[in-house]
Amino acid sequence: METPHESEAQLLAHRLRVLSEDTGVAAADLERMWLSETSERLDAAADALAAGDLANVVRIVHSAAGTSGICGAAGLSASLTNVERLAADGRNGEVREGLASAQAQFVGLVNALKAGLAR
Amino acid sequence: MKHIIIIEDNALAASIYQAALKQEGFTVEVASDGEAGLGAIARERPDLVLLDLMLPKVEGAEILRRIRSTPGLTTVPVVVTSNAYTATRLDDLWKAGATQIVTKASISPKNLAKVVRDALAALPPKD
Repeated sequence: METPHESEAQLLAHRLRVLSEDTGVAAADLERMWLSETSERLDAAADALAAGDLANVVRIVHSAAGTSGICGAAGLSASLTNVERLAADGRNGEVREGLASAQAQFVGLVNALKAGLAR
Repeated sequence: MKHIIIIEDNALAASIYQAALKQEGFTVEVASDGEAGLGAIARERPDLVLLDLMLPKVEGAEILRRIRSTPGLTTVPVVVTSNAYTATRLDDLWKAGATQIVTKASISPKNLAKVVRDALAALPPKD
């Protein structure tokens, strides 16, 4: 039985193939961009949170949610949108938890993608 | 050849839109924040603007209002792209003069190109 990460990784891989067909950009390049942009933004959001800059957390996770949404990682996108909402409401502690959860989700998704490629 | 300015701070989204629109034969320039976008619009007088909402420096809604209040740009099509719509925000965007509003996460590059083509086709012919 597939884990949620595996299911989402399959959807992401499918969406990247569709995006590749529509644009002529290689799916591997799109995947690399998704990986690096998401990784950078999650780190930047954690830094902004540590600095107490919730307005910046909102902006960063909004962008990260958009990137994942476009690429078909709907679960991660929804989690990041939830963090965005919490940050906009100034709920600091919940932002921390939500961000940690999104980071774990991202790692799980990346691992499932790699496992899928390995198969 | 029609010229399009994409104002988008998300590099992946910008790359996807740019590639899709270039495939359709448009010339495309990308600005990665609102200030750069306003500069590009003033400089290049594009045929259409693809506009994200949540942008650094100048927000997308403000850019839309400035476009609509600039002589010579009042009718230029502006296609708004975002994932952050609320009913109030949508209403504000239509009132501010958005030509079309699309959701990033659900629109394919092919469909986005169609929205752009349709918006350009709806323009009255130039004298």
